[in-house]
Amino acid sequence: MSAVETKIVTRRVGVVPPFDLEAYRADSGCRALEKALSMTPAAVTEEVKRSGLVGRGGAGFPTGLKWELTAREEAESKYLICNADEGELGTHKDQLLLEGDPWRVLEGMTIAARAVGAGKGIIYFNEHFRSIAEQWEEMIRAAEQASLLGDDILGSGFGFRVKVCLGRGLYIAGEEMALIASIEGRRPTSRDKPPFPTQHGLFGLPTCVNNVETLANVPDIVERGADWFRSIGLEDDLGTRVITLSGDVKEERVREVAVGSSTLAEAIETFAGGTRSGRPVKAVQPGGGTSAFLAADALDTPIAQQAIARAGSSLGTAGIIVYEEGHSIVDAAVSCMEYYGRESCGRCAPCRIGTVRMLEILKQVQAGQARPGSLDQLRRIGYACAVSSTCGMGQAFPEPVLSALKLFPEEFESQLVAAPNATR
Amino acid sequence: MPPSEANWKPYRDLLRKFGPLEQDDVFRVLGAIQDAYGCIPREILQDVSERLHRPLAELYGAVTAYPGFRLAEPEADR
Ligand SMILES: Cc1cc2nc3c(=O)[nH]c(=O)nc-3n(C[C@H](O)[C@H](O)[C@H](O)COP(=O)(O)O)c2cc1C
Repeated sequence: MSAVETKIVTRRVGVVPPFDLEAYRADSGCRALEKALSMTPAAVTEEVKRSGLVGRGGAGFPTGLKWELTAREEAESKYLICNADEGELGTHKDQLLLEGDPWRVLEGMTIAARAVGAGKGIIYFNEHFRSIAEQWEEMIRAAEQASLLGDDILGSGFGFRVKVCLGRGLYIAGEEMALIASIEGRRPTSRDKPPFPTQHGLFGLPTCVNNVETLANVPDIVERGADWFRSIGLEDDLGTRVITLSGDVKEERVREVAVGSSTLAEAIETFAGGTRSGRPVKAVQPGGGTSAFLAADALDTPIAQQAIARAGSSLGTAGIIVYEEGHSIVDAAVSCMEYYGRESCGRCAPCRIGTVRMLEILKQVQAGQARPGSLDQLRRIGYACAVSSTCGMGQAFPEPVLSALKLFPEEFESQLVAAPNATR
Repeated sequence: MPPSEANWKPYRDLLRKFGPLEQDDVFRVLGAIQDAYGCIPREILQDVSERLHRPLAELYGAVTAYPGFRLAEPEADR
């Protein structure tokens, strides 16, 4: 079967001119905001909660619950942060939304701010999105003039202002605690939770951090209602996912699909034209560069969190990275490790040391110089990092290596230096 | 060597654009300085630290963490 698109958050992309308020309004833009302003903040949160929307930034936290936790805090001021740092390997979905339908994202931010009671907003862009960030600066000024931002939005009495931050090239800054530290002008490192950002976030104030795609879903949920949203996707995993297809594919593509509506194989064939060489798929990482590899026998897995987890990986950012037959899995694991090793913030020891040691061993394997015990060592270090690192990065970066060792052990073993009494 | 008066001008200009500085402008200001000068001159970092009542050491720690921030222009590095 071929995969089909279901366009909700990408509906206007390439159709309605972006950064054009008139065009946005003519295409029913801002209606959700008007509706949200006529509702109580608690009712808006309840609607989002009932919709079942979960975060699209990788961790899958229920959005309505996060809003409720933020709203519950007593504080003179609160923050709403839109995480536009999109740094996960093989993931370009947020970029599409930020430049393809920016007013939608801003409308989602404003509705979220209203729901949680945030008067201050920050959008934090990946350094590669500089030109998009500049267009956002202009859009924000236009929004202030149109009374869509400011002290009294559309005469409702609700005030919300947004500031633009441009990242400076650190992947870890996308992790929410590091993101907050970055905006505060401190070293961007994660820290233990609790307290959660919803309690003690930016400058100590209650802070709701949401991903771009999460916020982009909000206007339609508010306007069309939770029941409409619940009719899309699977019972336990609702709505759509904006997937990125990359790696050994004919065409890199970003497409929006209803959760569970197509399998990995169908999406790769239909949207990306299959593998680059036409050879069969050997493996995929379904949730970006920190997700575990799945082998070809898992290609029939539907694109849905539970199904992908049962197959042994994670849907993460829905960045589907394809590896075709002939692509060395050792090389693939090395590329992932090189990227994440460079990006370790260095604050906690497992990640700081583990990334270096694992890359060292992998490079020895690659060069045919690793001893038989090395693979066990690789597994042990990877496991230790996964269970003892502070943040999601340290917990996740060993996944590709560990899964590659499990799925394709012979590729590693065949490159070892033969040793007497070798057990593996 | 303290920067000449002319060297302070881009900084003064960008401060004017910001208006009254708020705590949550700190990363944005550092970015604007980097973009204006191609680096974050020490004297200017010191001034940011005083204006925002933030320890210089903390801002230094932040600035040196990012590949996109520099303390000196590349050719002045050595
Ligand atoms: C190393 C690391 C990098 C991350 N990078 C991003 C990112 O670029 N964008 C993003 O939205 N979330 C990122 N996250 C997830 C955030 O910590 C956070 O969970 C998310 O922004 C919350 O938004 P959501 O609930 O709407 O998904 C990252 C997490 C980790 C551990």
